[in-house]
This record gives sequence, C-alpha cells and structure tokens, in this order.
Amino acid sequence: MLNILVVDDSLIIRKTLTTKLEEMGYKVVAQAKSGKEAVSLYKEFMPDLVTMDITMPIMNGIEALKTIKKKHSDAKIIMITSHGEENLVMEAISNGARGYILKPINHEKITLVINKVFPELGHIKHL
Amino acid sequence: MLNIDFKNLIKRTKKLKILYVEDDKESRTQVVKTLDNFFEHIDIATNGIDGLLQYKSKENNFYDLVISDINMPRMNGIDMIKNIFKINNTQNVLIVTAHNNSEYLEELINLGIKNYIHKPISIKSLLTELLKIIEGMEKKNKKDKDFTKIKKLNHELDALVGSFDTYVIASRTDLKGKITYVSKAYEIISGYTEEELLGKPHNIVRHPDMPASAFKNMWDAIQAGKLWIGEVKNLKKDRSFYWVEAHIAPYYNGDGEHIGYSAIRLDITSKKRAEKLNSEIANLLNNAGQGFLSFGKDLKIDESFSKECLSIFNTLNIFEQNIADILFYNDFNKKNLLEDAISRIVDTDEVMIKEVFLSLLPKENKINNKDIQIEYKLLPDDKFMLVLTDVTNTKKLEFKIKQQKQIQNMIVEIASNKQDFLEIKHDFENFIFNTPNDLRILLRELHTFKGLFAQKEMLNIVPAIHNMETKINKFEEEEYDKIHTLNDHFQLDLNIISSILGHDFLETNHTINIDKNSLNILELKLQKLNIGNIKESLSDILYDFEKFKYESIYNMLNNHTSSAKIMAQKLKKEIYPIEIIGDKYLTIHTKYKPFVKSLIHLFNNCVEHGIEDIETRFKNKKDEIGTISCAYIQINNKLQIIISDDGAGIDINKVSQNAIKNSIRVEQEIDNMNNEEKTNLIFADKLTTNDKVSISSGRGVGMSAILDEVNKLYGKIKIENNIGKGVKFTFTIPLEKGE
Repeated sequence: MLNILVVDDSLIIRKTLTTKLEEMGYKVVAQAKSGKEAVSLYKEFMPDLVTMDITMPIMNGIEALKTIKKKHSDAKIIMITSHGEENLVMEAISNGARGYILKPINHEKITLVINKVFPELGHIKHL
Repeated sequence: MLNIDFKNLIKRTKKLKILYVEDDKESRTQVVKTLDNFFEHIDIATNGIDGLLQYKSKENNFYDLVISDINMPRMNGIDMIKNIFKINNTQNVLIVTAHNNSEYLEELINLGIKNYIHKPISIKSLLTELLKIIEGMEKKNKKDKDFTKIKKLNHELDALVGSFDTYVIASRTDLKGKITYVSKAYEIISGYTEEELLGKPHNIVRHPDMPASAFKNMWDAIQAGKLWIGEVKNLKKDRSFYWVEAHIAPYYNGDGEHIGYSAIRLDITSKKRAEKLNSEIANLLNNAGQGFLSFGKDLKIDESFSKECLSIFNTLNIFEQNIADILFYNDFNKKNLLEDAISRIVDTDEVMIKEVFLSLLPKENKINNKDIQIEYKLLPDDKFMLVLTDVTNTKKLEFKIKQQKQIQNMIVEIASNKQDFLEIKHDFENFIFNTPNDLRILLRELHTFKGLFAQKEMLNIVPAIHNMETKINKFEEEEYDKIHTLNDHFQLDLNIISSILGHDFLETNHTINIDKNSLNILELKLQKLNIGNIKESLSDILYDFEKFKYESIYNMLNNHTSSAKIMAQKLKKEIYPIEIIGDKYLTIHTKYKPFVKSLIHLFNNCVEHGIEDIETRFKNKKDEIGTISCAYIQINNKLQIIISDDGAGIDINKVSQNAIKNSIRVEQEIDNMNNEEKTNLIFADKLTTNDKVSISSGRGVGMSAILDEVNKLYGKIKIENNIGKGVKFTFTIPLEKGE
C-alpha cells in the first residue's frame, strides 16, 4: 500500500489520476494545486510517492522537485508530462525524478512506472 | 736476468694445493723451504707408494700440482705418475731429476710431461717451470669455463630446435615438390605421420576449396626465387580442414645449390573461423532491411554499421559522422534533445535512469522523405546502438486505411440521404457555372456548400473549397476566376461515389417523393373532374400539386445534427445527441429551404464557440457533456425555430474587438452600442470569435449567411445571451397566407 501525493494545477487531471490510483489500490493522501502547495504537503504527509505535473503556476514541477529533494533526498517523485516536454522531463530526471508518465494516463502506464520505482514491491499487475 | 713479478706470482700460486714427493730428506728440506714462499698447502710424501696413497685419499682434482722425484724406493716417480694419470689424466705434474738422465726423459715425453727441472734445484729454474705450469693451468681453466658455456648454448639450441619441431608447422620439399622433411607440428596438424608424408607430393594436403590459380601464383613466385606468403586452406588426413598462413621460400644447401623449397606456416584456423563468423553476422545485419549502428558519448558513429544505414542517410559513409547531425538534420529540437540526453546518460551510473532518458528520445523522424522509426539501445561502456527502420510504406498503408474509412463514411452519409445529396449536387453545379458576381454572396454560398459537403464527409471537395476560401480571403482576386476548378475536385468525389454505388445513383433526375396516398387522392380528383366547374376543380388540383413542393422541416433540421456531431468529434468536445423537437409532419414550402439549410452554420457555431472543452466545463462545475437543443413550432402564420446551447455564451468584448480588428466598425461606434447591438455584431461579415480558422467553421461568413436568408423572408432573429450559461437564438419567419 503506497501513500501518494498528487500534484497538478488541473482539477480534472487531479481527479482522473486520483480515481485511477485508488482503483489500483493506492491511497492518495493529499492533492496539491501548485508546486508551492506540493512542498508543504510533502512535509506534512511524507508520502511514499509524488506524481508531479511540470507546468504549473506559482511554482513549477521542476522547482518543486528540487525543493523537496533538497530536504528529503530519498523522496520518490515521478513527473506527469505531455508530448513536447521531453527536455523538461530530462531536466527533472537529472534532478532526481525517478520516472515519468506521458499523458493520457492509463493503468498500464501507472503500473509500469510504479514497478520501476518500487522494484521491491514485486511485479504489480494492473487491474 | 729473470724478470718475474713475485708479488703477482705469489698471488696466483697462493691458493694452489701441492703434493711434493721426495725420498731424500736434504733435498726435501731445501725445496720445501722454497715452495713455502709460494704455496700455503703442501703435502709431502717420501716415496711413490706413499705419494699415490695420499693422492688417492683426496678426491679427484684435489691437487693442482704434483711435484715428484724420479728415483725413489718402493715405487719410482714415473710409475706413480702413470697411476695418477689413470685417476686423472689432466693432472699437472712437475718432475725433479737428479741427472741428465735420458732413459727417463723419453718415458716422460711419452707420458706427455713437458715440465721438469734438474737437481740441485735452482730458484730460477723452479720459478720458470712454475710460471709455465700456472699459465697453462689458467689457460685450461678458461677453456673449461668456455666449454661449459658452449654446452649450455647447445642445450638451449636443442630446446629451441625441439620447440621449433613441436610448434612450427614446417616442411621442406625437393624441386619437384616431394616432401623431404616435416616437423612434429606438421604431423599433428595434418594428421599424417612422418613416414606417410616423406617422399609424397605436397599436394597430399591440398583442399579442393583452394583454386588452382592460388598455387600457380605461389609457384611463379618461388620458382623466381622469391618468398611467397599466402593463406591456404589444407586438407587433414580425416578430410577436415585447417587454415595456415604459409611462408614458402627456395631452399639451398651449404654449397648454395637450389635443392628444393622450405616452408613454415602459422595456424590461422581460429582467425578464419572468427572472420567467417563476423562476415556471417555482418551478412545478417546487412540483409535485415534495418539500419544498425553504434556510437559513443562523443556522438561519433563507429566503424561497423549495416548497409541499410547508407541508404537511409543517402550517403557513402557515416563513419565518424555526428549522429545527431545526420539523424535530425531537419529538426533542431530533436537534435538538441539527443545531445542533451546523451550527456545526461553519461553523467549517471544508474542504468534505470539511463533507460528513462533513452525513452524520452524521438521515436521517429523524416529523413530524405522517408519515415524512419528509431530505437535506442544502451551498450556497455557508454556506447549506444540505434536500430533504424524505414516505415514509409507502413505509414502510407495506414493513411490509405484511414482514407478508406473516410470513403466509407462518405458513402454511408450520401446513400442514406440520397435525395438530399442530389439536391445539393444540383445546386452546387448550378453555382459553379453561374457564379454570383458579388464576392460577398459568392463567399457566403461557397461557405454553405462547404458546410453541407463536410456534413456528407466528402473527401476532396471540402479541403478544395477551404483552400479557395483562404485564398479569396487573402484578396487573391484571381481565384475568383478559378471557381470552376472546384468542379474537378467535386468530380473526384463523384467518381468514388459512382464507383461504389453505381453510375445510376448519380444520374437520377431531380425528383421529389410523392407518397401513395396523395397520389390516390389526386387521381380520384382527376376522375371526378367536372367540366362545368372546371376552373374551380383545376385550382383545387393545382393546389395539390403545389403541396408536393412541401417538405418536412423535421428532416431538413435533422440533417444538421450529424454535422454538429462530426464537428464535436473533430474538436474533441462532448455533446449529447441533438433532439429536434417539433411536429414531425409539419411541412414547409421549398422556398424556405435555403434558410433552414443555412442554419447548419449555427449548429456548427454552437459546437465550436458555444460548448466549452471538457476540462473547462468540469472546472466551471457544469455537466461535462454539452447540450444543444432545437425546437420549431408554427403559430398562426409564423414559423418559429429555437436553437440554444448550454455553452459559454457570446463574449461581447471579444466580438467587439474582432469587429474593430476587421474594420467592420470603428471604436466610437462600438462605444455607443448597447449589449444587444454588440451581440448582433456576430452577424456581420468577416467576423468570428475564433482566432483560428478551421476547415468546417470559423470564417465569419456563416452567421451572415443566416442573416441574409432571414432578411429575404422578412424574418426576425432574437438572441438571448447568458454569459457562462449559454445562448438562445429564436428565428421568427412569417409564412405566406394559406401555408
């Protein structure tokens, strides 16, 4: 059972992702609308995994990633991204993100990246 | 004068061991006194037997020098020396004789003894002889040492010859090629024994795979006295093979006579096997129809790559070229991405992270007009491999399938509403050959046709009209004269239609459907035709005929709903199926048809400008799926059509700005308008609130086309605009009396 923090400025993406993660048996402990909110919610909940949007107002996903990683070097963060943001994802990976999911999001993609980030959980079959 | 360096002599004699044999005590004392100066170790014996026993009691070669008298009791000096020589025939001996006694002298010479002195012993003669003996001894010692060295060298040479024999595949033949010598290694590799080979012609090991020309070449060289080096495949006794690199040269005997040929060979069987394997792998890769190449972190391509790479990159060589430069020569962003990824991959040690970077790289690019699919693989030591596949044909096929599907949709649309299509076709052909002179009217009609054809999902004519509209809007007036070229595009679609539905399908004349019931009534009326009252009867019949020109308004409007549905799919918006509410049997005269047809623009507008995208609707807490409603009703002599949506409503500011931008109104005019007037600006020509012009909507002529039709019929339009909630259009059209 993983505790997950979902970060995205778009309500519909937050809602979709949360629904999908919960369908798959994970617990979404909090949702953040901006990078800034993500940083403070991370401190509060100390989740096992963060799904981080890249382009957000107030503080973008890469800045939020750097800020969280500075204080919690073992934080596991994956990026939620769309086509055309490859260079930003590379920047995020170089700064410690463990993987990424290319929109549109589906169960298979979530399973694939979670299996890579948490190989110790064994192979999780998607529903 | 004797010139002897005593010091030097004593240094050389000091360590020597002496056996001195003398029976005469006086002589002994005198000589020992002298010898004591030179030798540290002196044993003394008093007769031959005593001397021999002492000599025997020491190990061989113990005494460096034996000095002996001749005349002695029990055994004389000569006999003692003979016995000593039996033990050690190289023993140094110095004889001391009393007289010039020639009877012994001969025997001494026979024994090989050259050193003797006479009694009484003078220091001079003793030293002279000693010096001779010591020099002789020193010479002999040196010789012995040299001999040991030579023996060692010989031994090494033997070992060398032995290993030559064991490891070097060597042979010699006579001038005719008959084997005269083979090494052990030759026997082992060929599987034959020496006896089986000697005297046989050398071609006993010739492999049938070797062409005769190879040996001709060899014979030419060695017969001309030259060294020949070549790779030769040989046959073993068990019929298997081995490969050698042979060095063959003419062979001469000690007198310089040419007596045959000598050859040494290196076993290169494993090298040949590796070469064969490599060439097989290369063959596989070259014929896989895919480009394989590898490159390092400097992005320079390695020397080995498959042939397909050259045809993909359309070049003669790619070795050492920069992969990012040639793979993404036409796309700066992709090129940057590759360079960035490689340097990031090199910076990390985590394989998983390296793979993540690779997965972000472009998976396709157009290279020299070919669609190339790119796979990236990680090799050890920060090397990278690319697999390039030409997928141009696959893509073409996909496009064809997509086109086929589009054709299918078109055919279904047209076949399911044949009458409607034939009418549009007729109108369009009429339009093309009788083009309106007014450009505004022309654009409006053209736009309506585009909407109607798009509704039928027509393949060629829709984009053709779209392109023409774009050009005319850019004031390329000459396009105006090219309107008739649209017919060519239209014909393409018609060809597709008739090829599938048959030629008859399009050749049907302009017809209207009359239901059987109406026909029966008409027939009955004609039968009852009363000549006396013919005028009245005829007007009754004419009225019935006129009624045939009436059509169901429901059907007309219902055609638009599929157009709106297609538009929503294209824009990725969700709408509920549009329900037309009204009396299904209500018919209106065909002269109102252009007006109802023009309403297609409003349906499209509702989808494009009214209904928001899913996410916006979700954010605004609206039903994610949009609703468009359409209702009609006849009240007294008026027809009312109401079309509404639950979208964003009309943004008056945007409409106003566009009006200024497109020079429809000046700013002051707008400032003086009330909201209703501003809203009505959407009916002005060249106005749209959409910043992008799409193929099916957004020209700003659609709404003005509706207004035109409404005006022709002296109708009215009422707009109820509710920002954020939607908009409602009410059309009121007066119907002529009796309709």
